Amino acid sequence: MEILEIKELLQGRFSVLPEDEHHIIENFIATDLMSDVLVTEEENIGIITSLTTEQVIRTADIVAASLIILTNDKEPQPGLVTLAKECEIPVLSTPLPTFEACAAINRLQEDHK
Amino acid sequence: MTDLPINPDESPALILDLIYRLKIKDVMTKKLICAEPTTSLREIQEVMREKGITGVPIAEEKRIVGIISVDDIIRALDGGYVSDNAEKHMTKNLIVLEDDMPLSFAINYIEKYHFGRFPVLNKKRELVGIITNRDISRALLVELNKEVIKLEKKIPKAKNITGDTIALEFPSRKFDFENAGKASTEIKKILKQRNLPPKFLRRVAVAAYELEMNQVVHSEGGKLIFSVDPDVVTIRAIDVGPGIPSIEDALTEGFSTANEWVRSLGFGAGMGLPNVKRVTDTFDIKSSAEEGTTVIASLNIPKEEQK
Amino acid sequence: MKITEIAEKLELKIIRNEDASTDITGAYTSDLLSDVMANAPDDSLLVTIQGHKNTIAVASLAGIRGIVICNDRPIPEDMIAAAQDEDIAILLTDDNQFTVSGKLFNLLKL
Repeated sequence: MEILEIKELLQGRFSVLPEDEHHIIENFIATDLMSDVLVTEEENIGIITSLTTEQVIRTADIVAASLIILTNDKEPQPGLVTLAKECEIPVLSTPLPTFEACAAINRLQEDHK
Repeated sequence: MTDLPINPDESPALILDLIYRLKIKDVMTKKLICAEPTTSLREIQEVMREKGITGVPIAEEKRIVGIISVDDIIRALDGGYVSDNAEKHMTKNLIVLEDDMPLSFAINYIEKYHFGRFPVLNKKRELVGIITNRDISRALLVELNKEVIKLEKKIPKAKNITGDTIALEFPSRKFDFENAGKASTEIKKILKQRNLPPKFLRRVAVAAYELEMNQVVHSEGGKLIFSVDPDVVTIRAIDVGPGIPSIEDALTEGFSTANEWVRSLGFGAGMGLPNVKRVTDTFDIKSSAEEGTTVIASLNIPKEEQK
Repeated sequence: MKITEIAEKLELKIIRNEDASTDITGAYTSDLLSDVMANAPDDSLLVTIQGHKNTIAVASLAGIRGIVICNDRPIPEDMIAAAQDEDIAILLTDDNQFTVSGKLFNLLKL
């Protein structure tokens, strides 16, 4: 699904804008522990997390993630925003908690099938 | 009531270490001033004034049954019922903490419930103390003083050895989360210039990052030495201590000795060394309490196809 | 829905079931214990990879009745012991948090 669809689905707001909001992301992981991000072998993933530190971007960059979805209406720390802009990884904040955000994306993926 | 200006997600590493390391019993006031359910509010008011406190737990034998706060007294004075017994007006729905819990729990509670004080119970549900905003501030100041003195003595000198861009050295400092991960980012940038395949770069980045973070999170300080020759990339992570008690455990997926606050920063998934082992071609680790830990891992550079 | 039924429908392994037969009405997905403490709903399941004794302490404070450990992560003995003390269920799955959240949401018809 497109980044734009995700934004609308999750009532989101970009703290770092995507280069291409029509970029398609098919795989998602939800975690707040960064080593867990590094276990994945997928590319072009969306990372759903409540962690607001710049370590999110460092790990996202290592796995070439395409989008960070920050849940629980958390504001990313300034360090995260700066690094995300440098690495060109868009950051979307949503008021939804992680559980609901995952469920919404899961459902949209089902609908698309 | 005043909340504490400590955000468990954003405070400096040192403060987080403290609030997760200290237990409520280390910080609470143990000299308990209690009253009985039959004590009058007026007497309680006297006690508050004399002792300069803003909350008095009401207890029967060591069990807490309620609490009277300054606000309750003010309302009683206003309503003219200050000679009533405490049990008639005490707050009964109590939110309590356990003495063995980390201080972070108390701070989370203050944020969640906006009370200025919480009674503290032991495992037997007996009242053993009370913890207030003031107790927390005082304890943190004392501990911070100690930590700053320690830190000022230990700042290492940064060294970057660059010879033909083949060998680089990056220091790691304990709990230096601001700089954590920068070494791996540097290494990635440099390798990218050599046009190596992205999948290979990713493996190097994962190994470098996990080794760097292990040093920042678990060691007393160390360095990451990174060398590139025509065939192989080698990462040496050398730290000064405290050593890994069980290497077998450390290599077990999901096993982590990270404490509460480290996990609150997103670390401690227990996948660090397993991740390194998975992405590298050779992996060697040795560790002792006297000499610290040394990990040497290497990745064979994939041969490019002839164009 | 009771934990036993949830475990059956989602093929979760029951490491330890709760004795009280709570009707689970919600779930929370997080590995950050301070978030869990502040936001998790009562009578819910926690979806996480934090296989740790402290997860139980926080669960009991927050009114969570069961922990779903994802990615087949190991569950230490002291976590199981703590779960016995607090009567909290522990379930294990090899799915990740993202997938489990989706399935649980649909199952509980939220």
